[in-house]
Parts: sequence; structure tokens; C-alpha cells
Amino acid sequence: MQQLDPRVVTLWRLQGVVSVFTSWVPIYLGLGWFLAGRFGFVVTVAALGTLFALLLLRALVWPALQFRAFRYAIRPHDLVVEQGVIFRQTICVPRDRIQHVDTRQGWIERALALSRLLVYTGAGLSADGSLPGLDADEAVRLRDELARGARGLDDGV
Amino acid sequence: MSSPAGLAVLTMGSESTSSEPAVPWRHLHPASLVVNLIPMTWRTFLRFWPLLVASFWGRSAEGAVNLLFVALFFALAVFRTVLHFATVRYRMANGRLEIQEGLIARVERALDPARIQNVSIVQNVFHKVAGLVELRVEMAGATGMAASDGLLSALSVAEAEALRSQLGRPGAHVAAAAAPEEAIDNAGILEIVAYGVSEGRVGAAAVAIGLFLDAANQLSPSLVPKSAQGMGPFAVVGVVLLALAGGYALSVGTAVLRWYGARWWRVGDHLHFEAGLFTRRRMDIPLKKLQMVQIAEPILRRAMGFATLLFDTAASNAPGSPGEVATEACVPMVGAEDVPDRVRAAFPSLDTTIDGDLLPCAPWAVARAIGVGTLQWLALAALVHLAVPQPTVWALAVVGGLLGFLDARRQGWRVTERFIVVRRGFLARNTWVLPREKVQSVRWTQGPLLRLNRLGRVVIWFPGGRLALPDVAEAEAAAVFGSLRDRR
Repeated sequence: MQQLDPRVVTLWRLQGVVSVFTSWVPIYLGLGWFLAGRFGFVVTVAALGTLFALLLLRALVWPALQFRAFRYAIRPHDLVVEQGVIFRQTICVPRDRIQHVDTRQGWIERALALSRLLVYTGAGLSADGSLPGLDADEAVRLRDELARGARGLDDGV
Repeated sequence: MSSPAGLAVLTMGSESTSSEPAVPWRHLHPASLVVNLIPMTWRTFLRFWPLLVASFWGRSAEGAVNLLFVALFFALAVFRTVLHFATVRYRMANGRLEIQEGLIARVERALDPARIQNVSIVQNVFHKVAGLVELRVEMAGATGMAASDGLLSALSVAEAEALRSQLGRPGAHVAAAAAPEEAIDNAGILEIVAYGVSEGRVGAAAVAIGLFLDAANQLSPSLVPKSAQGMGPFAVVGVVLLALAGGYALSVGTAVLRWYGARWWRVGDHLHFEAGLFTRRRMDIPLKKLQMVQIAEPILRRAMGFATLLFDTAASNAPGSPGEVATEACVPMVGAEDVPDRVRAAFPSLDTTIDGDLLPCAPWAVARAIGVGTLQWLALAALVHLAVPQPTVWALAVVGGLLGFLDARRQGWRVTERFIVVRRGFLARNTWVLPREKVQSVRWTQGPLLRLNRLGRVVIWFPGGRLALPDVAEAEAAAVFGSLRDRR
């Protein structure tokens, strides 16, 4: 089993920190409004400060654990992904079931020269297998390799 | 842009199949304007009738604004109908069904018959009066439940049958016409009424009655007691009986509308379904496109000795919890003793039993189900206790534990050479039959509680949904996962 590119830890940390400063803002505001009306300014600031510190700590520590738990293997007949720190999951996608393979890059991934590989089967619209944080060139190589094994027409799906 | 397999979506001006001058484009039937306008107007009315009533009742400036608002939506309905008729064109070219539509963003779809999951012909009352039908074509992994991939809303019956024949059996419609029709089953009116009764929409009716009482209370407080505490015992019993009667009436009415005259039959390697009182729907599913059969047996239906069969193709994507699928075709009532034969009609190579003899979940999974059921119903009891502060309310937790136990005890599964069978549920029992060749990917999951109890869960993704096996011992789950992974 292979590990992801170690730069993915930086990617996940940056994504986590950005999230702490952006998508959590409505929670801070709502919680602040709720607490300020009942417990006063000091308690509100202390509670929000603690929440902020915990979220920041999680954003910095969790990616290293995620990295250690994430493994993948591209075998002759299937793609296997193991992931999850608390909820462990092993995903197996037979190569002859792959419908198409995508590579995607967000702005942080582009800055770190990383890429995400998404593997789709006939099971639905969401990706059945996802490999985040691959080196961009490696992702393209894997995409082409997996796409070669993708199935032909009229397979009953 | 990713598009569903076999469904090529091209924008005009780029790659276009309009370089096929030999096959002219065809238009919808002119009666489409009327046929589509009336249902669309009716739908608009159903959606906005309270606003319409309020505007006539109020007779004030506000009422006029409401009326203007409704008129705007009627105008929109008319515009969409006219636009649909004016812009939709179709043809069979290069062995594919090509459909063009749109005014500003013009889109052309090419539907490859090899990728078509099912073809439906629908005829509502307006179609019937005009002698027309609607043709719906569903592709794999497509646009979900929002719309058909290929929708031709008004065709003559002959035109629709010719298209269905070419799409359902590409290049073989002449031979198919000679294949014998093999009737499998049909549902009589009594069976459909029994289906409606056992479907049970008491909850929906209770909510509707609650909303009605609340609205009546808002409009005229003197007519309706303000709360349950203000109602006498007879009034409470009356409301409960009203909810029950309303629920069953709603359920039976819906069942008759949807399943009146339901029948299914087989022609060659295609299954056909037909049902509906006012809107008649006929569906054609090639056997090899059938992904899964679900046997639904709610407790009341089970007691009556019936089951419902639901058939899924890859067109029915349901992004939901494990075991949740969207259904393509349904046989509402099948006698319990006939279920194995009916499933075998859909899957002739079925190599296992489905009515018993399944492997149980792990003993720890039973204990876990009791715990989870107790906790869930404890939370419900806490909520009920807020409204009715009686100590007996906490007995609900015991009910939850009991239901969890009964559910877990009736779970079953089996993985054979060719098929996967999973059964779950006590109050609403479901059995899923899935051919192994349809498995797209397999997942093994284990959260902290499962790990603590040394249990494992295997989830199977197939075209149209996903299915979780009951929780079994870690080693057994690993063996099943390995077997499914290494050989489908």
C-alpha cells in the first residue's frame, strides 16, 4: 500500500485553517449572540476563544493523523483505498467497473503542485474512490492508467 | 464536463449531429400545446390556490397583488409550454435518438440505445383525449429523479411505439414483435385497496389534520379548542379516528390512482409494466439492465400474506443512506408464496432462496440494535415528556429496545456465487436481491462502537443505490469483503 504525497498534510492544514476563519464565522456569530445575551461579555469571549483554539488545534493536528491512516494501492484488477482515523473504511473499486476518472486542482492544490484523483463507477454521481493530495504529474499518470482499464459499452449498466 | 454514460450533450455550433441531412428532424404533435398547457396550468393552480382564494376573499389591494402574482405564474406556464413545443425536435439518426431543445441555451442530446435503462410511455387523461402519449427515456447515472434524460411530451401512439421498439430493442424490433408475450401477474382492485390500507399514511394525515386544526384555530378561535388540554376525551378520540380514517382514505385513493389495472409481463428478454387509473404508465426494462429487486413487506401487508416488488435500473440514482434506492418499476401486490417465482422471472439465474435460510447478524449486533433502539426512543420519550409530563411516557424506551431487538433478529444475508441477498426490518421488512455482476465497488467500514464489539460492516455500491449487509463478526465481514473484492 502506498501513502499520499506528504505535502497533502500542508494542504489539509491550510484548508482547515481557511475553514476556521471562514465557514465557522456564522457559528461564532450565532453562538456569540446567544451567549452574550445570557452570560455577559467575558464568558462569551472565553467560550469563543476556546472554541477557536480547539478548531485551530484540530486543523493543525488532525491532518497528520489522516495522512498516517490513508493508504492506497492500484493493483492489476482493482483500486483499494484505506482511510479514516476514527471511522476506518476500506474501499475497493474493480478496474473494469470504472466509468471515468477525473483529476481536479483547487487554488491551494495548484500552489502546492498537488492534484486530486476522482474515480467514478456506474454507482452514481459521486466519486466511488478519491485520492487527494497526489503529486500533479503522478495524478495525471494514474488517471491515464486507470482510464485505460475503464469498461466498454453495453455492459448492462 | 462529465455527463452520464451514453448521453452525449452537445451545444449547437460545436460538434453537432446535424450533419445528417438524410434524416429529417421531427416535431412534437401540435396538440402538445393543449395537452401540456392544461396539466401545467392545473399544477400552477394546485400550488397557488390558497393565494387565489385569499385574493378573491380579501378583495383588497393585497388581494389584487396576489392575483397578479398568480397570473404571472400562469403566464410563465403558458410561455414554458409554447417554448417547449416550439424548440423540441427529435430524430433517430446514426442508431441513436437525438433530441434538440432550448431557445437561448440550445442543447442537443444523443441517446445511445445500448445505454438506455428503460423506456416509459405515459398517457394521462389529456393525452388520452388527444390520442397522444408521452415518451420518457432514462439513462444510467443521469440527472437523478428530477427529469427524464429524453422527454418527448406529446407523440402519436404509433410514433411512440415505433420509437420505443427501436430504442428498447435496437435493430431487433421486427424479431421482437414475433416473441410471445408471457403474462406474469396482475393486480385486482381488491388487492390494490389492500395495498393502500397496508401502505398506511396515518402520519401524513395526522399532520394534515393538525395543520388544518391549527389554521382553523387561527381563523376562528371560538370554533376550535386551543390545545389538546382543552379537548374532551371524546374529541381527542374523534381527532385520532379522523386521522386514521383520513390516512387510510388517502392511502387507498393514492394506491388506486397509481396502480389501477397494474400488470406485468415478459416479452423475450424484456420486462413490461403497466399501471395507473387516469395517468397510465407503461415501462419497458431490458432484463440485463435490471440492477436489483426489492421485496417490501410492511407488517400489515405481511399479515395479509402479500409483498410488493420494486425493480431498479441504473437510472434511479439515490444519494442516500445504505439500503436506500429510488425505484423504477413496482408490482404492488404479490402473494407471499409467489414471491420467489416472481423474483426468478426477473433474475432467471437466481441461485439462492430469498424467503428464509439467510445468515443472521452477529449476537453483538442484536445487543447493539437494542441499545440504539432504546436510545432513539428515549430521546423521543424526552420530547413527548415535555408535552405530556407523565412517568409512563418513559416506557417508550422499552418499546424502542424491543423494536431494535425484533429488527435485528429478523436481519439476514447471503452471498452466493451469483447473488447477494439482504433482509432488514421488522415493522417495515425489506429484502434486496442483487446480482454480484452489478456490484460497482465494495466498502468495509468500522467505527469505534463496531470496533469495540469486534463487528464489521460491508457496504455494496451498485448502479442505482447502495446496500449495507447486516453487521457481522469482524472476521466474517472481512471474509465477505475479500470475496466480493476479489471476485464479483
